[in-house]
Amino acid sequence: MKKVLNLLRDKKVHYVVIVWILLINVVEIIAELLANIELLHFFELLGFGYLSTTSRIVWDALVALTIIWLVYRLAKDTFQISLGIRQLSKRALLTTILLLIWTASSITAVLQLAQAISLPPASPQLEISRYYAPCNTTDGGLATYFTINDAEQGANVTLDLSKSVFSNAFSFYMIGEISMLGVKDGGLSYFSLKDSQMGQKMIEMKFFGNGTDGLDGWFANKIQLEEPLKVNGNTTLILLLKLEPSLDNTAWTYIKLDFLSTDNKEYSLVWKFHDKPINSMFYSADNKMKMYLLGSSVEWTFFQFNLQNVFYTSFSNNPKLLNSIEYGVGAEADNIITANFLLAKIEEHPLKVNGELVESVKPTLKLDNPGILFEGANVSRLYATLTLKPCKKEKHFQQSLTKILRLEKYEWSLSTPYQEVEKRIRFNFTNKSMRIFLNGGEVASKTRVFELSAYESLALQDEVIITIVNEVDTYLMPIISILLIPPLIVCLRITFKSKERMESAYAAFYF
Amino acid sequence: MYKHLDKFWALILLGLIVRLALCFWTGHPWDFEVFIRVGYYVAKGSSLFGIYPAESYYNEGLGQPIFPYVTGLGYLPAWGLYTALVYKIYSLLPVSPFFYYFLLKLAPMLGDLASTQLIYSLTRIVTGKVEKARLNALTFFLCPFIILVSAVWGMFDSIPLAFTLASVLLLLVDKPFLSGLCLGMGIYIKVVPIIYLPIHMLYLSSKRDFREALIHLLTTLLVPFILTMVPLVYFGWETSKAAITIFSQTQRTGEVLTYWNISALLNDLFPFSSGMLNEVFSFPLVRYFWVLGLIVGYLLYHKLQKSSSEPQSLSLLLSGYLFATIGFLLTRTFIPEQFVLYLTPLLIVQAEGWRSEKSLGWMHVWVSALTFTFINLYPFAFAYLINPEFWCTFSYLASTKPYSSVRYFARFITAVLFDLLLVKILYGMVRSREESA
Repeated sequence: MKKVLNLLRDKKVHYVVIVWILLINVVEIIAELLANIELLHFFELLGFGYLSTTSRIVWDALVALTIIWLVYRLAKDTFQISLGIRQLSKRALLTTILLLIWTASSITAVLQLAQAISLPPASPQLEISRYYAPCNTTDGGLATYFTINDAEQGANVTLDLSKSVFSNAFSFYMIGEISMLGVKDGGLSYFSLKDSQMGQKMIEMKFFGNGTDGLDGWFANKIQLEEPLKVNGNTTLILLLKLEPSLDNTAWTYIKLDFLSTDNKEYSLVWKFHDKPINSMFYSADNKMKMYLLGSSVEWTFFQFNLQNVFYTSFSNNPKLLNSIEYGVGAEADNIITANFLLAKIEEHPLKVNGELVESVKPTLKLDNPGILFEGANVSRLYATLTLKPCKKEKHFQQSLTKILRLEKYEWSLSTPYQEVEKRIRFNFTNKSMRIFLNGGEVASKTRVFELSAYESLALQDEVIITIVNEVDTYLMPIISILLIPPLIVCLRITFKSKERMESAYAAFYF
Repeated sequence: MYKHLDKFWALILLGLIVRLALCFWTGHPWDFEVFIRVGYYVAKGSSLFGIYPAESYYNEGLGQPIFPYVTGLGYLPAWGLYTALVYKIYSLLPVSPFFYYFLLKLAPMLGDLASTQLIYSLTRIVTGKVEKARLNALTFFLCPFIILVSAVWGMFDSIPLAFTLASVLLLLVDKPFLSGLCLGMGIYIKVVPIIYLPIHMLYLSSKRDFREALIHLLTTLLVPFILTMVPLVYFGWETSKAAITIFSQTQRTGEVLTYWNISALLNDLFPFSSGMLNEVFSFPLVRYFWVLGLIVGYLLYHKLQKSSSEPQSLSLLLSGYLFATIGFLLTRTFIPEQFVLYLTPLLIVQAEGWRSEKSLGWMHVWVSALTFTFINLYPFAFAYLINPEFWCTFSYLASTKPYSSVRYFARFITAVLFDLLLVKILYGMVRSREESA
């Protein structure tokens, strides 16, 4: 023990620890600087961006203390300057302690006030979702035009394809050659066309496993085309699908297309979607089939592929004809899995909205004019969400003995009669002590479990007012006020009575 | 134990037979499964770094479906390319997957052989005695822990170890450039040997000059850099993903053969405090504690170098290696059992230089490491390739209370004992060196 204590007093040990801490800090600074360069963003892994606020404060304080420690060591070892605490009288000691407490309290209170003032605004946004009917359908039913009301212009619009209704959503959906493994008898596994609760047509495939753990089972439907489909540079496969997750992360669904190439060779392309996130691709042993594994599809996911491009990049060859399509669903046989397709089309046009290629299930548009033009699919009902900014904003502060309150008030006046399906407000939480009042009533605190955003359904009202109250506790304020009095008295007495005592009170530390 | 040293070759053959008998049907349920799947996917055209951090799923007929998905490798490309190469070879032949498993373990077993030869050579230099060299070589080659790691587990640390020992030998015979190439190859296969680079620098600065040391440094670092960039450019793999894969190794929180595995025990006992515990165990000072361990190791070596009458001796160089290894093992928060491999040959050879009656040797080290391994993962689990139930039974117990708590507690105690052993070795070695100085 004595040796350990001696070791801790050794100045070499001090220097090693100082160098170590400062080295880590240098690594962090360099990593953060390099991470700002686009190609070197991976350096952020070496940094400490993951630290919580508390850990960050502790770490920064530690680095600051290390620097002070280094200065002290260098001063002592190089210039023989030593720092020590002189023996103080009781009164001087009391005064010093009171002054230190007062200083710490003041700094804390000032920081709390600064925090309340500098909190970022909540900036809530009102979102209104509704269905729109088409105004016009042209181009053989594959271009649909929608008009958004005048009041909604200039707003951001987010479309939701999974809630929209498509006409002619499937190119091929008849029952073909069925194959299966590990399924329960009795027709419990199937491929069929169904109606959703929102009135959409959808392909539903079910795999009903026979209960065998460890056995990878499946149910597949292969549709041989009577007349093979010609493939050209515009032929596009459009998919909108959702897969029910399994209990053991083994569920998948796929669509397989069998082609004949321009040199009359047979090739297959498979797009497989899992419940567990996977992004990968590989060839079959004979290089005649390429499989693309694309992320997780447990939520509605949208894809579209130019078949000629994918085919060429897969096999360095061009496709001529599409001969068959196969749909499959599977998992380990102790699961029951359903896969749904809202869109499974092979079209001569990709799906575009206002001329932009659709790349997700919820494409976002900035509405510069009142129209939305859909190309590549016939949409009979379009589900869109408008994001509206508040028409009135207010911010003010209230101060009490132990609290500082910051109030933000936002108002929306909805003059246009809406027939909303859904209306909600979204905003960022800035701290856990935030209180939210919606049209006069306080919103239940359960929403605060969300760290970044909160959603509140609203009744159909023409006016929406939200008040966000941020509370900062300033418990040290009274201490400041009370503690300020005795040190002032003491200091004044010391100042006027004895110069020596004043020195002993203030000069607690000396070089 | 090995009294009949004239039977040296017979015992080497015995070691080989034991390895061959164990290798093709055993493997670590996680690590070996990762190797099997990475080999398959990379051979089929996937990016070695594309798999990470996304996960590769079970492929029917290869390995076992004990984990539907496993992560990729966190190493530079060497091992991933090797697994893909052996899968290609296997796929060309009409043979059972057991041949693929054998090929995966062939390189680590050859690494064992190469390390054995190098231990023999190094001991001869230290002692000048053939018999002692043979004894040390056999001590390593027949060590059950070494056999377990290479032939049963399927871990390949004996390959970078062989390259590292070769670089020591080349330093001694005054070939710093070739030594740098060898150490660079070791780093390319697994990054761990990079901790020995400053020891080489100090050694060369003392023996030759700082310029030579700098050339050695550049040679050592350029080898893994070039050999990493070539496949990245050739196969079009993403550089950033490769870097993320490797850098992610610095983020491993307290686990396996170190007292830091108390984090797993505390997480098991206080599951509701896991956020706070993770916060503590990923705090910068904890995450980079190994930097302090290495600094201390290098300073100890430098101090001995200054006080020694023979600053360029092999014995002193190996002391530096041991300081760095022990400093690293005692401070890094993630110490897989196979890291002990870097310690064992050094202890075996170095023991001749400093061992006193009170010192603890290599046998204590491998016995405690083996004990830990069998507490961490019970021996039958290594036979999961024959029957996945061997793993499932263990997995159930390992994740079900109170068995899980008992296992975590036993792991912690064994790891603490192992670390105390390392402290004793370090202390004994420093004292012995100081006395001789």
